[in-house]
Amino acid sequence: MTEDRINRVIEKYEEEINNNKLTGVKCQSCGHVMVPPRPVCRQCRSPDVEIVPIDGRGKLLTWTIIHVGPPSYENQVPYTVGIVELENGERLTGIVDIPATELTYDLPVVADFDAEREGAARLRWKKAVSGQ
Amino acid sequence: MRDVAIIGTGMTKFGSLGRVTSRELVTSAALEAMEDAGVASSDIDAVYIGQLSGDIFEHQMHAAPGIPDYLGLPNVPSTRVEAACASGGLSVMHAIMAVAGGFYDTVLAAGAEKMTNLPTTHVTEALSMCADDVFEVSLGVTFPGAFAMMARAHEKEYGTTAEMRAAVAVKNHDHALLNPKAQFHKKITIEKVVNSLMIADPLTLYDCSPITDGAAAVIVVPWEDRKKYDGIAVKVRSFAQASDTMSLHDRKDLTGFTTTKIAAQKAFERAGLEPKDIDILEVHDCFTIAEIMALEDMGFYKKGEGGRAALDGETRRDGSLPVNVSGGLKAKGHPIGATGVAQIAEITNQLRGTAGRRQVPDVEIGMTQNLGGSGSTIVCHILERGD
Ligand SMILES: [Zn+2]
Repeated sequence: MTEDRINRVIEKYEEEINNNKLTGVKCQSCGHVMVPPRPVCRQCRSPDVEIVPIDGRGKLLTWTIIHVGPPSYENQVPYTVGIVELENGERLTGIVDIPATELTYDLPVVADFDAEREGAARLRWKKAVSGQ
Repeated sequence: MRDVAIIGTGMTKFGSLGRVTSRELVTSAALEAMEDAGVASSDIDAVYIGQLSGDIFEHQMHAAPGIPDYLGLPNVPSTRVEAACASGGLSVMHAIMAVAGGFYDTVLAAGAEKMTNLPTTHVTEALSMCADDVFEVSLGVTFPGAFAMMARAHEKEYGTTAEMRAAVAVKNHDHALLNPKAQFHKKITIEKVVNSLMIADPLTLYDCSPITDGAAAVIVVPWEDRKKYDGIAVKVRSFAQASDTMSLHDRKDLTGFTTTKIAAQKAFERAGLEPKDIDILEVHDCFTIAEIMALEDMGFYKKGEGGRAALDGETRRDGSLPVNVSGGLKAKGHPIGATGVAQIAEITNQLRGTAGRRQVPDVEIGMTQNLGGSGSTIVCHILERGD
C-alpha cells in the first residue's frame, strides 16, 4: 500500500498490461485471487491485497458482435466482445480477435494485447493453440 | 412508519419532442399529476427527480432545483436521484421513504430525460457510461452488447430463441397501440423483428428500446391522509432495492439478475405476498431478453420458461399474466429517468381503473421492476387498489 493509504489497484493493473502482462490481486489474508483487481477481497473483505501475475488462458463463455458502437469504436464495427473465464475461475471482458464463424461456447482463448491502445483497453482474446 | 398512498399520476407524450428542456417536461407531468391528485402546488413539501444525465444530453446539471423553480415553489427541497435506468423507480422509492418516515406529507416524485438532442452513437456512448468504464466500456462494450451476451447465454442454457424474444417486442408494440402517449403506434411482426438491422448480435433494432424524450410524475402522500384529496388512492404495499457488481463478467450467472431475484423476494416478503397474488406487471424491457429474464427472476416463470410464455401469448393484455400493458420501454419509449416513474404511474392507473382503452379488468395488485446498468441496480414496487 502506498504512503497515502490509497490502494491503486487499477493503476497497477494498467502499468502491467501496458507491458503486455495480465495481473490480478491476491488477498493476503485468505489467498483468494481476483481478476480484474479490486481493493477489498470479495471472499473475506480484507483490504490487504497485492498484485500478482495471472495466466492469460481461459475459455469463451459468451460473446456479441457489435454493429453500433460508441464514437471511440465507431470505425471498427462490426467487432466482437466476449466474456472469458480464466483457468482460476475469474472472468474478464475483452475484444475477441476470432472470426465469427469460428466462435463457439467454451472455445479455448488466450489473452493478447492491443499495441495501439493504453491501459485496460489493451486486453484482447485470441484463439489458443495447443501448448499455449 | 406510516403506510403510503399514490394519489395522482402525470406523464408527457413520449417520443422525439423537439426543442424543449427536461425541466419543462417535468413541469407538464407534475401539473397533470397534481391536478389528478387534487393537490395544490402549495401543498408540495418536497420533490424527487430521477434523471440519468442532464449534463450530457442538455448541458444542464443540478436538475433538482429547476423543478420546483418552474412550478413556482423555489424554496421547496428537491433532490436528483441517479441510478442509470433505475433513476425513476428510485426517485419514487425515496419519496415513499420520506413520507413513510414522517419527514414530508405531500411529495412530488418525478423523472425525465431529454435524449434526442444527440446523435445515436453519442447516446450509445452516454448510456454505456452506466457500465464499468475501465473494465467494460474501454473494451467496446455497449448496453445492447451486454444484454446480447446475456441473450446468448440464455439461448445456450435454455434454448430461448430469436422468435421468443421477438414475441416480447410484438406484444409490447401491440399494447402501445392503445396508449396515446406511447412513442410508437406501429404493429410489427416476429419476422420484422428477427430480420431488422443487427445492433449487437443476436439483438436486432426491434429487440431494443428506443431513444426517447419524456417525463412522468406521481404524488405520494400518507395513506391516512388520502381522503383529504380528490385523487383516487392506491396503497404502496412494499418496495425493495438491490445492487450488484458494475461489470457483468463479475457475476456467476449470465442468464439473469441476482438483483431482480433479491429485490422481488424482499418486496414479496415485506408485503406478505407471492407471485401468484400479482394481477399485472410493468417490467424493465430495455431489451426483449430483459423482459424474459425479469419474469423468470421475479418468480413468475421457471428459468427457461419466460421465452415460451411470451411466444404463447401468456403475457399479453388478455393473457393469464398481463405484462407491460403500457407498451413497455420497447414501444411506450424509454426516456431513462422517467421510465421507473411511468411504470408506477401505469400500475397506479390500472389498479384505479383509470387506464383508459388499455384498462385490464379486475386488477387489484400490481408490481413494477426497474433496472439500472446491466442489472447493477434493481428496484421493485408492489401496489394495491385502494378503498
Ligand atoms: Zn480474502
